[in-house]
Amino acid sequence: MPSSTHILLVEDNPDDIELTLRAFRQHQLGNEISVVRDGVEALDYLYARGQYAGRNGNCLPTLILLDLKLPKLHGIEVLKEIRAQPITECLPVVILTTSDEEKDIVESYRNGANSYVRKPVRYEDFVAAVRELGLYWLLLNTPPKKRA
Amino acid sequence: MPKTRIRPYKLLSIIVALATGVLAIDLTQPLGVAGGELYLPAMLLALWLPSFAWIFTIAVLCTLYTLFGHAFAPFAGMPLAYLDHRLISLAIIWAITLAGWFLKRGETALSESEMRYRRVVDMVSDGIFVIDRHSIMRYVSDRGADIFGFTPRELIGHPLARLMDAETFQRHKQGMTRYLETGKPQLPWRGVEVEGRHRDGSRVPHWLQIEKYTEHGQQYFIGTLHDLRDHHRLLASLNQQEWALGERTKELDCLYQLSLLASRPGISLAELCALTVELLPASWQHPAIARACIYFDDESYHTEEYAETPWCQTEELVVKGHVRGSVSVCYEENPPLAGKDSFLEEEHALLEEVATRLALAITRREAEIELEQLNAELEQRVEKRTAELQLLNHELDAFAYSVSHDLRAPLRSIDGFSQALMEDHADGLDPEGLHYLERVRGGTQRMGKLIDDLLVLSRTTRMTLEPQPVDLSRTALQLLAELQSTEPKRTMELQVAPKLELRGDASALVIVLQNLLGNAWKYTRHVPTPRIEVGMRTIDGQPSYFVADNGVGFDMLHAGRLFAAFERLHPAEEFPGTGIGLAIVQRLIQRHGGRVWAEAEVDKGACFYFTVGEYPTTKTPGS
Repeated sequence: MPSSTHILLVEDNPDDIELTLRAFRQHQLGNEISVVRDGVEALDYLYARGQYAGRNGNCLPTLILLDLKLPKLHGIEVLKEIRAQPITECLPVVILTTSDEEKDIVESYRNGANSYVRKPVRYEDFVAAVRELGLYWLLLNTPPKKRA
Repeated sequence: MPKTRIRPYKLLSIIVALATGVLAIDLTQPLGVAGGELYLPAMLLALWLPSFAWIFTIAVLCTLYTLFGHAFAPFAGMPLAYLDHRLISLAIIWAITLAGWFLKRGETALSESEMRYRRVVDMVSDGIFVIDRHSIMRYVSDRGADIFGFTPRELIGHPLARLMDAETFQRHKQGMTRYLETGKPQLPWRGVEVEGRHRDGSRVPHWLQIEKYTEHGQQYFIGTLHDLRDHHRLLASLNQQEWALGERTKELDCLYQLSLLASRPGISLAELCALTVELLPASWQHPAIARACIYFDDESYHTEEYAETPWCQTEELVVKGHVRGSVSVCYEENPPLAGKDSFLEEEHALLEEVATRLALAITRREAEIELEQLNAELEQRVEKRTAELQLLNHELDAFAYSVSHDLRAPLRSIDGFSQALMEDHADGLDPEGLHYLERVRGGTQRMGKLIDDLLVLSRTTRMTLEPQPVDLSRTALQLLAELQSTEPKRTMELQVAPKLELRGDASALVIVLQNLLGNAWKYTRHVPTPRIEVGMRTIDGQPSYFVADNGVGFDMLHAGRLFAAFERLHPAEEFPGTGIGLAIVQRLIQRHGGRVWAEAEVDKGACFYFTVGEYPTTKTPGS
C-alpha cells in the first residue's frame, strides 16, 4: 500500500522534474513521488489504463502537481478530465507552472484548480515554494476520506 | 320722351294765337264775334294740353279776352243781350275747363303708372320683346335692342328674322305655326336657352321666357330675354382654368414623384430611369397615346409600345456637363386639336425640367454610389487591417506566453543546478569557482526580472483600460507604505498632497505610481535626508500630477532617452533595474490620452510629471 503522502508530478521538463524532486527530497517530503511526462500519461496513470493498466486504480495520489504546458494534452484539459471523473473530482490539484498569464490563472481556477503556484526563477525561492506546498497540502490540509 | 314735350308748347302757342286772333276780330268787328263763342274752339283745343294747369290758364286767358272784348268791342245797342251771350260763352268755357279737370285727373294717374312700368322695363337687364302672330316685332325695350346691337326703332315693325340666322328662324316659324294650329307650344313657357344673332354676326346665347296675351282680339307674344354671353364666357374661362389646373397638377405630380424616386435610398441608376420613364405619359395632355423613353449610357428604358413618331419631343440628359442620354415623349398619333406643335409650351418646359432633375438625381446617386464603394473599400481595408492587427496581437500574445513560460524554464534550470552544485559539491570547488557560480546565478536572476518586466510592458499595451475615479493620494500612500516595509530601517521624508483625484484605470495608475515611486525610492538611496513628494500643479491649464525626489537626478541632456525601453542613465551595479519601468509608465499614460515628462538636475533630484486624458496622443520627446 502506498503511503499517505503520495504525490503525482505532471511535468515534461526533465530539469524541472529533477529540481522539484530535489526540493521535495530536501524537505523529506518525497516519500513517494510519481512522475508522468505528458497529459495523456497523467490520465492513464490516474485511471490505470494504457501503460499503467496494471496499477491499482483505487490508489490515488494525495496531491497532483500539474504543469500547464504539456505535450499531447494541455494541463487545463487534464484538469477538466480530473474534475469530470467522479473518482478524481475531489483530488487536490495544484497548478505548478512558469506562466503568470492572467488567462492561465483564471482558466485554472475556473476548472477547479485548488492552487496556482508560479515557479520562481531563483532556486531558493522555488525550494521554499515546494516546501510550503508540501507542508500545506500533505500535512495541514484534510482531504475527503471517502473515495469513490 | 322729348318729342311729346315739345308738342304742348306748340299747341299752347297755337291756342294762344287763336285766342288772340279771336280777340282782334272781336275788337274790330262791329258784331262783336257773336259774344265770345269763337273762344270755344281754342278752349276745346286746350283739352289736349298735358296738364290741367295749362287748361286753367287758357280758360283764364279766354275769360279775360271775352271780358276785354265786352268792354272795348264797338257794338251797337243791345248791350244786355250782348252781355248775355258773353256770359253763356264764359259758362261754356268754364264747363269745358271743369271737364278738362276731370279728364286730366284720370290721365295723370294713367300716365304715372305707365311711366313707372316703362322705367321698370328699361331698368331691368333683360330685354323685352313683343311679337305678333306673324313674328313681327311690335315692341322692343331699349335693353332688348341693345343686346343685339340695335336701337328699338331699328327693330320695331321688322320680322324676328333680323335677330336670328335663317335656320333658327325657320324653326321658330314652324313652332309658331304649330302653336297657332294646335295651341301646343314648341318651347316651354317657363324658359329655354336659345341662340340669336348679333348685328355683327356673332352668336347671342340667351335665356328666353315667353308669355302670350291678347289685345284687341290680336294674339301677341311677350318674351323676356336674358343675355347669357357673359355667363358663357365665364363658364368657358372656368373650364379652361380647370383644365389648365389639371395639367399643372399632373406636371407637378410628375416632378414630385420624380423627386421621391431620386431620394429613395439605395435606388440603382437603372431603376431610377426605368421608374421615371413610367411616370411620364400620365403627365402629358393625352396620356392614352403618350409613350416615353429614356436613353442613358447606351441603355434604353421605355414604356410599353414605345416607338418614335413624328410627334415627339426630346431633351438631352446632361450629367456634369456631359450628354449621357436623352428623355423623349412621343404621341402615337397627332393628338386632336393639335396646332403646329403637338405639345403644349408647358409640356416642353416639363420635359426640360424632368431631364434636368433626372440628370441631377443621377449626379447625386452616382456620387452616393461612389461614396458607398469608397466606404465599402475603406471598411474592407479596415477589416483587413483589423484582422492583421488581431493576428499580430495574437502572435504577440503567443510570444509573450512563450517568453513567460519557455524562457524562464532554462533560467530556472541554470539557477537550480548552480545552487545544487554549490550545495552538493561545494567540496570540489574552490572559492573562485563558488564565486563564478554566484555570478551565474546573479545573471539568471537579472534575466528573470528582465523577462518579467518585458511581460508587463507587453501587457500594458494589451490591457483593457476602464476609466473610473481614482484617489491618487491614497494609492501613493499605500505604495510608499509597501516600499517602507521592504526597507523598514530607511528614514524617508514623505509628502503626499491630499485629495489628488482623477479619472483613469485604477490598476494601470497603480503600475504608473509603482514605477515612479519605486524609482524615487531607489535613486534617493545615497542621499542623507531623502525626500519624496507627490502632488499636482496646473501646467498649461492642465492638472499635472508629479512625483518628485531629491535623489541623484540626471542630466537633462539625456532626458530624451528616459522613456525608451532598456535605456538606463545609471549603472546597474549602483542602482539595479531593467530600464523598462519608465517605458511602461509612458505607454500607460499615453493610453490614458495624457503625456509624461521629467525635469531633473544632477544630484538635486528629479521630478516626473504626468497628465491624464487631456492631450489625446501627444508624443513625448524621445518616444
